[in-house]
Amino acid sequence: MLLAQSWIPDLSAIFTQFAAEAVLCLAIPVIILADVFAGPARREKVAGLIGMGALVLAFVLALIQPADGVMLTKLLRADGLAKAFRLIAIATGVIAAVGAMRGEITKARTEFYVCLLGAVVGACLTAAANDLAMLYLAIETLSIAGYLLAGFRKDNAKSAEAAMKYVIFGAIASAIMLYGMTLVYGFAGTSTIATPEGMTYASIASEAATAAMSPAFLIAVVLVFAGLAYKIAAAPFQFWCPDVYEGAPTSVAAFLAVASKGAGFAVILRFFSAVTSGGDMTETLQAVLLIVALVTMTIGNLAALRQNNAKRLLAYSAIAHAGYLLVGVAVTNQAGATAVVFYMMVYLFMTLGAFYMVGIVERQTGRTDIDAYTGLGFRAPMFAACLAICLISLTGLPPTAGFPGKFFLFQQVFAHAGEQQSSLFFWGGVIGLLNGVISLGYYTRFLKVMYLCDRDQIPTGSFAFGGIDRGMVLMLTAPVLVLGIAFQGLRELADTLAKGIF
Amino acid sequence: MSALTFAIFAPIVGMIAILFVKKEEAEKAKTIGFLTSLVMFAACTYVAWQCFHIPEGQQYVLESKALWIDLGGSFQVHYHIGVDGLSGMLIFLTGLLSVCAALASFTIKQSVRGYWAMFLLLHCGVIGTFASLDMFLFYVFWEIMLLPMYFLIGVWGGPRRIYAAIKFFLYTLFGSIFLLAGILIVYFAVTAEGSGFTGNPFSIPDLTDYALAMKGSGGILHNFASSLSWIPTAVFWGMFVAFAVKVPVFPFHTWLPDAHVEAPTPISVILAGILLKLGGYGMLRINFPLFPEVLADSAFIIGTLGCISIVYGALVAMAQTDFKKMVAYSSVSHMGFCLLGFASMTSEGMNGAILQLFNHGTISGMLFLVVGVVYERAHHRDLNRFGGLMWRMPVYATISSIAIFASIGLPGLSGFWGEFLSFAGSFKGLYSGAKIITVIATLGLVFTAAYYLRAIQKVFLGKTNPACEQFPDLDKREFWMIMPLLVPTILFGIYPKYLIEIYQPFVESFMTLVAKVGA
Repeated sequence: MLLAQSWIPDLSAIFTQFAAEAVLCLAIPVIILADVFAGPARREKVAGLIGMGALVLAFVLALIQPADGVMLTKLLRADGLAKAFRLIAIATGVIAAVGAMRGEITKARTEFYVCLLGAVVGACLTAAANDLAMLYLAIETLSIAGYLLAGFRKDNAKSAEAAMKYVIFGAIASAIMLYGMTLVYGFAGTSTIATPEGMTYASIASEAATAAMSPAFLIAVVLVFAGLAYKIAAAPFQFWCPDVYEGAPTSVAAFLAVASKGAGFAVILRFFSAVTSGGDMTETLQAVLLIVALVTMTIGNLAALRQNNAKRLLAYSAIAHAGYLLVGVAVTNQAGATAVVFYMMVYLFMTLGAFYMVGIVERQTGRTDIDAYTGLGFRAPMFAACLAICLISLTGLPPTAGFPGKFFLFQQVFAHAGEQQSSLFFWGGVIGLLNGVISLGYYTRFLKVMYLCDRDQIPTGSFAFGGIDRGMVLMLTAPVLVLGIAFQGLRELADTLAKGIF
Repeated sequence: MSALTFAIFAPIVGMIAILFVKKEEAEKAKTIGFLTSLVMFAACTYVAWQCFHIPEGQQYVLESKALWIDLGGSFQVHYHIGVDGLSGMLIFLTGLLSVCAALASFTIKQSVRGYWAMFLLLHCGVIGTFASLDMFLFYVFWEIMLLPMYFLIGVWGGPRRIYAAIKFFLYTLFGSIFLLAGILIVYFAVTAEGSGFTGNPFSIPDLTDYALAMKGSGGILHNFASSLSWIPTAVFWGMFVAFAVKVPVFPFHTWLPDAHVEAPTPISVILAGILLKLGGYGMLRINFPLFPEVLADSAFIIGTLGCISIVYGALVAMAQTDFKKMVAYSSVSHMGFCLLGFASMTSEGMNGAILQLFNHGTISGMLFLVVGVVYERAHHRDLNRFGGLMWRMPVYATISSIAIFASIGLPGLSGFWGEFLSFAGSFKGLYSGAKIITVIATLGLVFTAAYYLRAIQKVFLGKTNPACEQFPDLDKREFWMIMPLLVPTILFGIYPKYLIEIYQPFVESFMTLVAKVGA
């Protein structure tokens, strides 16, 4: 008995700490079966109901699941960070499913829900992975589902192009990351190669702490980071991002911008926590991260200035935000991780809000160019006000939630600069904040066409904004405003969830 | 709830009321907006009145402090407000100008509800900024002003309004980024180990006290290593840029003429009368008190910038044919006096600069109203296409001339005191080169007289331009929107004592802050 017990892994955590993922996984075959048995008239509706039900149930379970760091066979760890990014991924999945139901996806909706659930599971597992092998599987689950989702506007050539680009870039990035992982394993696993600990973050950390500055280990770390940089669309791996966001259905773009990016950041936090746990590489890596962050946000913001397509513009904005978030990672300490988690939660509301509203305009007018928003400030005041709030928040101005988000991130940068007496971080902080000014240049283009247009240019005809759309938008926008003033609760939540990362 | 909190949030209440006004009854928004501005004026007057009775040993009155964000440790942001004579005086100015601007806004006909909502939100930001005693709160109110201003210029402005609005927004945000960076660096430095700071790292009074205590031993940012000894200077200049953009100081002034020319009249009034004052106020409240030593080292540069603003602004104003643009550049020129006064670090200079803050508010407000009146009749502002308005509009011409002479600095009108004291203080300024800079700056006075007298001659004197034959004189509303500004101009011109009395405690404490450094 005793022997058996030690060989059969303890899987009970599936029912407690990982119930949300279990529900989502179960829902996938159920949807496929239901699709077979439901009549052709009702199948998409049934699939939608099951998918949505599973997502909502998973969200509730994720909320009440304990975040006590219990592990599932050392492969997955149910800690606060996993909980935070799992909630983000599932919430994004819900919004994407609503977008699809509202008419964004017209063909093969059943398959869409299946892929979406798969992607959500992948994102959840990516955030919870405690081991490089598990991590790779989870990222691939997320990516492959993502490739499929990006190509879901089947009658649209751009969507096909988007999916193709995403696959090719993704495959290369995966390969690079996998190569990096094998190198890391080689370093970290040398002493304990036969044990399962060889590939966990903990063993990487112990190796990094003892290793002298070894160029090979640095290369390994950079290679893994390259793969992750692709996931979060950080420079110089951001090229796929605008094309894919433009071609993909808007709700998928939103999913990639929030859930996929969030999962990437969960991994980056864990990975860099491990590799900077000591040794003499820490400072080099911090500098590398900061420079990547600054280059990313500057490229994103500058390129966004010239965009006329709302989806491409938001894609570049998402790149810029990857830069802001990386700044919080670059300081590699607990407060930085907290700031990243806080910003990610704020980012969830404002980015999903913006994408959702872009989706509404796209569904109504069939257009994604900025001129489609002309006069909306007068034709649909509520809609325009909500979009304005999300964009102001993305710029990082008070009294919206984007401001405390940025405040905490850059607070850490300047604190780090002061502690390390590093002028690099001082200038990094200033450049990062100045990026907010650049971003104002393109976010206000929406405000310009919505409010500042000439009166005779305002198109006549009504703009429908009611029912579910209105409810969803208000649900996403209200927190942006409320959290801008009363952000203490969210910050405390972020504190709890990010605990123990560094 | 204190009167100060009431003054800050009364506009918000008005704004919410306006949001419930139905589209068909848009005129109601006007009524609500005007009544709210009257309420604001009453509250602001009460606040200012309280500043005359600041108890001995107390720096602020109407102080209220409530914990807003508490993240444990030293990160405590308070809703901490209070006024001293300086902010009380400027809050009174805000209340006064809001009534005038509200009266001037009656001519706004499109999107009336939106206009009044933004108008009131702007005032919440302004009064809040003047009242804030917490850096975080200050920054939040400071930024809250940007968006309504962007819309007020961009939606209700002139032909190039979109360009002007975004330029204003970008310039001001660019500046405030450095303020934010400064706040973050100061926060880190005073909370770091070994700083010896025991107060709240966001509290402006605490930090000011600390700056006084640390004078001579490295200032509030003393704990940076020698390799980073440039940090205090950099933070000082960063914050200076944030406020200099608002003042505006050469070379950060280029947004101002565009914004002024495109903005509707009431918004120009608020822009020139109040928003520019926020720049000078920020310097006096945050920038200089936190870094008195850097101020002493930088006085020459600040004085030079002031001097350039005065002379350059006046010269450019002289080249304008657009009445409003001329007044806009005169603002650049006149706000330069404030810098000259600040840089001198003498009691006279400070007095002059602060007087100039208030008096420029009333005078430039008046001038923009005057320009607005004639623009509404002629639909252009070309100085060469008027003439002889004196005979058609005698009341208007008289009031305008008083405003212009006040701006030139004619003794007996309020503009005189600010200029006179600024120059007097600047001449005996504590930095080397003060005398030369002052002498050069006085040239600005000559140019000022030149462009203003030329304007009077072209607009009011001479033969009546046939196009202006039918212009009616001021109606009741127009008369009463200018009157509240004319009265203090004359009153404080003859008897500036009340004005000087209200902010005197501030000057005294400021002088103790800088005095030891100079000695």
